[in-house]
Amino acid sequence: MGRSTEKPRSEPDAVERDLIEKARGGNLFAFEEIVRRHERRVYAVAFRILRRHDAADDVAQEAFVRAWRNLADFDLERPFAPWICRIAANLAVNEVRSPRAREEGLPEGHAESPSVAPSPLEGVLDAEARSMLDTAVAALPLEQRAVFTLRVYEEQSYKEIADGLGISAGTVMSRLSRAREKLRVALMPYLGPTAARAGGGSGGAS
Amino acid sequence: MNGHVVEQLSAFLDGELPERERAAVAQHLEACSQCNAHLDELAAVDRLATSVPVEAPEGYFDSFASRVRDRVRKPRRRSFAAPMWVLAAAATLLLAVTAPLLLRRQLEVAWVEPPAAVTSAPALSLTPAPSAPPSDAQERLRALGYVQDKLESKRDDGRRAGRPAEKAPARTPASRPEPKDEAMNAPPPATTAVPAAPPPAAIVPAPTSQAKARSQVESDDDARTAGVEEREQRLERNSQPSAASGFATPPESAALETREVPKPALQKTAPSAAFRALLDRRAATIAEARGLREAWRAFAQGAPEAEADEARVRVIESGREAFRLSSERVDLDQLRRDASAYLKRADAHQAERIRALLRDLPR
Repeated sequence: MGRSTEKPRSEPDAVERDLIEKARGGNLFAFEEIVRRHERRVYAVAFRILRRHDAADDVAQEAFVRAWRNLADFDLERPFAPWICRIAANLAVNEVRSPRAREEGLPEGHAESPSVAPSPLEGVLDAEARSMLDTAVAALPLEQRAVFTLRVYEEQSYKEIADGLGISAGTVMSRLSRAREKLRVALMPYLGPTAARAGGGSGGAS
Repeated sequence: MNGHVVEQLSAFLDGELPERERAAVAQHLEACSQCNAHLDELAAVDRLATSVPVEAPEGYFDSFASRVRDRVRKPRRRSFAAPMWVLAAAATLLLAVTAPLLLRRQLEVAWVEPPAAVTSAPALSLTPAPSAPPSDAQERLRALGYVQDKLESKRDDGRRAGRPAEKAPARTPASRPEPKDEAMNAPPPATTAVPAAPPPAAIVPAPTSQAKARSQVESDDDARTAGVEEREQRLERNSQPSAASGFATPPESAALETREVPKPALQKTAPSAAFRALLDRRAATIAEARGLREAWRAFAQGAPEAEADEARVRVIESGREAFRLSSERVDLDQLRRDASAYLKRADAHQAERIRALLRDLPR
């Protein structure tokens, strides 16, 4: 398997800003560098929502294409990653039901083989819990997965998510609440004090 | 309900509750072990979820950036991308009709870029040929009489003109196939190309939507991304998922209104505004493709002959696109009917093109 996709909490840095400015001027090489910096994260967002490699690949690429075309609209004072991730999430939500997806027989909520692979980080989280999580997430409506992904993995605010997906903050709130509740019910056996320690990658919320 | 705050716990966890609600929830939590446990479980859901990384196939990212680059340079004709040859045709038209001198200069500049960039998109072979390569677009426009005679001697230049237009990185408004650019894609110098009092109905919608698009751009901030615009378009689509003919965008209404207005004088020098509007229109969804097909069909009925022939071909091509997007029998049947009807015409100037299109269809 390939390397794990990363989830850096990116801040606007000078190098990136420089790259974006060059890209804005039409410098495709600079843009390629931006792509390389964010490709894993964008792919991960798309994959978590779509749960299929081919669809995620398509959306991830397209997100960058859209970003390239809309660089002029990007606010240089802000980090690039959340912006491109929102574009990807929006595409994932809106394109998965596109005719093309149907043409290729892409059923919503269908998970391609093992979507996740064991990571050495979590010894506690056993295969069973992983499998339960996978099933539970797959059962979520696409819109809820998108909101859940942007909030839980990308740590975006409700307003950012709302703007990115074109819904109200109230809708973000309710979708997220419902998604978490469904996952809570499905994963109940794994949410006890023992499982709570499993979150090696979470950065220790609360 | 016995005062529990379960429904607010998710937002409480995220620190997204308004202060008053937050305080109320916090107060409740002090006394309610049940809600406290619930909150812990929700937090555990997040931790559990984030403990599982996403893995991409081995080597997947090795070529990712270069594939994005190819796609930027050469968008495939698909649900995401606009048909570049249409844009190329529009650009070519703009150049050929309005400014021969500019055309020549444009060629010199554009050809500095390595042509390899254009041909290196393997994805292109996967797409059901939107048929006309850009140079062909020039030919077709010439066939339609839109290229002035004095340009005839520059035929070779004209052939090449399509390629730079197609290759131009999607940075200029004229070549950005974003929905919001729909109006902007109408070549700005169009007004100079159609000096002879064009039908008002055809002209009015364009500046309006153009102004709208522009003000949208101006009000853009981080939040108003391409994605948002895409979504806005999509919301419209979703509200009428299969409204094939009910799809009314400014260009279409322009087409419908203006086809009743005779304008033979314009025909030889410039396409009608409605024709251009339809040329600029893109179809990313089934409904759009079907809508475009029907708009071309309607347009063909009252159009001058040169435009009518092209419009009939466009009926078939947008029908092909509708079928490609939908894979539905109904579209295939319609496509076959349209193609067959076209080929039976004595004035089918582009019959070979349609035959080629038919050959690529599934049996």
